[in-house]
Amino acid sequence: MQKNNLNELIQFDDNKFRPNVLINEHGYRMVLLTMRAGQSVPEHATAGRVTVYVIRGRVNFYEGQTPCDLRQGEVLNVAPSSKHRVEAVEDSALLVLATAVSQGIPDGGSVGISAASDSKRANDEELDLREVPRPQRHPLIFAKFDALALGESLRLLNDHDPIPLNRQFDSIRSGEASWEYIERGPALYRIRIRRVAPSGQAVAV
Amino acid sequence: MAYVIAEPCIDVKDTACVDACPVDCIHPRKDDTYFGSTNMLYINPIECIDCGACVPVCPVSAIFVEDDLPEKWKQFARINAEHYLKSALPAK
Repeated sequence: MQKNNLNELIQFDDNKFRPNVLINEHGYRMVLLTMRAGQSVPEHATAGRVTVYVIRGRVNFYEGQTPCDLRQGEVLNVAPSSKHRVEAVEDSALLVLATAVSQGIPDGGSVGISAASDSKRANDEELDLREVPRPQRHPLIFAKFDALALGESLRLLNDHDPIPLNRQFDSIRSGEASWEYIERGPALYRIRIRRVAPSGQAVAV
Repeated sequence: MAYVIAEPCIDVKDTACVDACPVDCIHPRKDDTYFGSTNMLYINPIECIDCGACVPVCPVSAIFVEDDLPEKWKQFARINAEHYLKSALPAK
């Protein structure tokens, strides 16, 4: 159990907004954010879900270009991965709660399309990433993935477990891909990445 | 503009910055499965909110505002960004 008295913790910095991290665990953060009138948090994106509660004061919150007047006692939910920024109208204290997106896509991701896509397994393409220069690998994979129709897949071959790639799929193609290990080490890793939802929700980067 | 982790972090990976970051934009975390597979930590320039909370907690002074990066470490802005590869991805 952890108890914090937010009223005692509210402190302002005249030079810059002030984030006070109260909890920072894998998958969950609680931050007390204080802002003097006129201070602003620049536009940024967060992969997970964000909830902003105004303890005191008043801010203008922007999700993309869409503004929202947010006052003491009001609470706002931000869509995952959407760009947002905040401008303080008055001296304000906000409680920001953030949860991470889930790591990895459950096996059930391909349910409902597996029959239709079985016929495509024979001709899906295997990318041998060991032959691709490192900086080109992720852009290449995303370009190939973006060209897939619903239910189609591609296969990757590499000499290590591409965990960062998996995370990146989660964050910028959230819900669009299923991830299936065909071979998982120790020397070689083969992964089938299948499109399980149409593109469109993807974040422009 | 974002903060950038530069060369002094290599093989140090203290992660005090990870704990101090209010938006979880520094990776890998100690409990990430790929923590052992990188030689330094990186800041995601898309997620960084320029608060600077990571700077004073870094034991090796490896973190700079991008504009203040020493000349010899200018390439680390790209190295940090490429870890996340946002800029290299095809636009939707």
